[in-house]
Amino acid sequence: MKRILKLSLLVLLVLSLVIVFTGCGKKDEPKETKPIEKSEATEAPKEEEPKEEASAKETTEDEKVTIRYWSTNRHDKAYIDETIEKFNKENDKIFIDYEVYAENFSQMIDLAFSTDSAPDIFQLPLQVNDTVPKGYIAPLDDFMDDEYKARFGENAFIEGVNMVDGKIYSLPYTSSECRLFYNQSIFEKVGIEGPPASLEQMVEYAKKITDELKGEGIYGFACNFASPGSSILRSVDPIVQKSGGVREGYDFKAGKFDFSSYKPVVEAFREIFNGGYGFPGSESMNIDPLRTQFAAGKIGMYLSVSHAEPGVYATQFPTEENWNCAQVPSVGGEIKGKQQLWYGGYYYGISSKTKYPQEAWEVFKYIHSDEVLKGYFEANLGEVMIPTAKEGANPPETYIRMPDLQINDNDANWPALPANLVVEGKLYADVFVAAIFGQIDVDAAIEDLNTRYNAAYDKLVEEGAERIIYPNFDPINQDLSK
Amino acid sequence: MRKKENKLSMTLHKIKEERTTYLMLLPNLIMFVVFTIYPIAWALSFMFYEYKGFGEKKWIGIDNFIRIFTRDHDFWDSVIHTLEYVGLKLIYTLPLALLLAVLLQKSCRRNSVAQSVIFMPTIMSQAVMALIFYLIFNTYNGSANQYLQSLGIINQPINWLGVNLAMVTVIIVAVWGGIGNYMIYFIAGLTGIGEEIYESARVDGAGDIRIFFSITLPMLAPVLKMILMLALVISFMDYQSIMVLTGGGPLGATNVMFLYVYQLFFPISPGSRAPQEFGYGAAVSLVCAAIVGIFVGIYLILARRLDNLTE
Repeated sequence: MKRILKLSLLVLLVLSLVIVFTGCGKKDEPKETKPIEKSEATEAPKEEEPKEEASAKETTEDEKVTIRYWSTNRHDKAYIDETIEKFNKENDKIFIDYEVYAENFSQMIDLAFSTDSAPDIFQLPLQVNDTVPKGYIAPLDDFMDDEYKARFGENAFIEGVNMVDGKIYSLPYTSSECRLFYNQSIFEKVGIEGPPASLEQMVEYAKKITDELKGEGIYGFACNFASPGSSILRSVDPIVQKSGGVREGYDFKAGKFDFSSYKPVVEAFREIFNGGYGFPGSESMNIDPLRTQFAAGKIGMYLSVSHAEPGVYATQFPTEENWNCAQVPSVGGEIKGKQQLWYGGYYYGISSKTKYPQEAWEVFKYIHSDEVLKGYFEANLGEVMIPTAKEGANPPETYIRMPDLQINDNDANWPALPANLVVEGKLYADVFVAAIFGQIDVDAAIEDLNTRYNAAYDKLVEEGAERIIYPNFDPINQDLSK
Repeated sequence: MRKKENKLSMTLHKIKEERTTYLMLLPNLIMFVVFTIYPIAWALSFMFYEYKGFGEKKWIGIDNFIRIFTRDHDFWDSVIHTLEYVGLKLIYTLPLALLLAVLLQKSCRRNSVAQSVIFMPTIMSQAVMALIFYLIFNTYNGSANQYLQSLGIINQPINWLGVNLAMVTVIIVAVWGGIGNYMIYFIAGLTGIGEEIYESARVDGAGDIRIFFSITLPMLAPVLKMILMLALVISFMDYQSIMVLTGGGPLGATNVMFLYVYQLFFPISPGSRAPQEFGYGAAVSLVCAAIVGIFVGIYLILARRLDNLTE
């Protein structure tokens, strides 16, 4: 009996080992695929011509290839869900699995690639020349012919924006510009006639609103400092650029980092938040909770991005508040530089690890199609950058009511920043948020940032990177001649 | 030589006799090597390199360690925050868990229900828990401030997630999440103390408080030692709920050691263009493990000395 029991246990053990090793076994290697033949179609997917070689995975008539598509946008989810549903109904070969990751999107992408579970198509969390060295995205040149490229307009493909080393990695989609969003009713309540024209006025208005309406729980200004990078990029940075300063600390004319132009702007924000005029809890508030408070009529003004806010207050956090949009103010009210586009010229990429490149390209084309983007533009979900998609489209009501939402001559793509810089210690956004809340002196912060960032960049240059320098550059003319 | 051969044959004979035992241990050992040892070794293999998670690894010797000990003030701030977190969490969690265990140890329906309710946070997802508490402790319209204001306890909302109070909030969430787990351990320890000991103490005229300090605590000492060590190690490694609740902020006020390591491997601040630093992260994680090891070692030495004194 004892012997039979021992034998049974042994058999069980062997079985469990077999199951474990089978479960951890290698997957089949995907078959090689040819790039898709150059296609003319830009509308809804049609039947493909028979291919010479099979796709990575053999699909039967009953099986669809699933293309995973990730985005971080919440404001357009309702619209995109509809377009995806339409595609999935009409296409019998491809199924789009669309997911939105609200927070920590960049981290999600890194994790996905580390664990070999990356989506086939994803919104690029960083600029193209930061993403390409990581090996995440595939070049798109072989998928497109000249006719397809022409629909994006002249000078649509720019090195450092959507191209790296002459190869195209992303396509123009929508652009977004930083703007000031304000509650007109709150302004009228305290006797302010219009949006601030200068940084100094913005501080003055923030103080006035908080002083007079704090008792009602209404504050003059808010910012989403829980994510320092996100908040500084959409608030302090555009003001610095518009005031004739640098882009994210980099002086393109001198070819080095110099954060001194941030001083007046950081001091202004410090006056608001360290002085108690900012929305309480801003230091731990993310952008969506901020938007809920604005929608509830508790915030006088804040800085954010033009592509998101209209959709946010239409579908995500619908509001009856009388809100409007204005240009980002500058120091002294004088415009001495162009504002960097939040997005412009690049948006989505196809994963270099996708097992279904042809199917991924079909979906990619559909996302960028005139049909999808015309509706996108009319629904006021973003400034569409593809001219053919906007032809004949009815401009959204908010564009008529709020013309400042639109891209203008003061918005531009600055040159690409040094890529993959490894800076020791806190990044500039974290340092400036600490300075805004009075934790560190502004001058000391600037000196520290200049030292550390230049040390990191000098090291990168020593390792072979070319120093980015445009001797004739200035923030308003953006002259890149050497 | 002959002695060695005899020893070997004796060992082989012993293995042969206990082969079932070893075979039963084998799957666990394989899993441990594959899912614990190998990933740790893989991660630590980067610590002498500069590696961004892609491209070539560059050998830099002990530069990463020089950076940790001479230039990285943020890491040492995170160590101080970790010690603050561990100390406060243990001070509040363990006595409360012990008190609850003493009150609820008797086997009856009411106590079983109470134990289940108190234990529930242990089986909840830490991330979900942290998200709910984020809404509760939201400065502007969180339910905590709303209740306190409606009861007239405060006039202005408390900035629970601000720089000054964020660590307190994190501790509250940690205590709420951990108390049930340790309560169960204490109940298990208390059931090992014979009822006759309490009876004879009562016969001698001892009150409840005297019984607790003179009988319960001393007899619980071995269990308490083990629980304290577990709690110490677990608290040092906590970061998941902090990551969701505050992200290590605001302004780094709640950034603990292992969250700092996590951020080196997977930067979480969007738009900040922070690159991944696998090499430096691996070096920092080794230093963190050493710090935890030092504190556990100190605790074990103190515990042993205390045992020797009381014997």
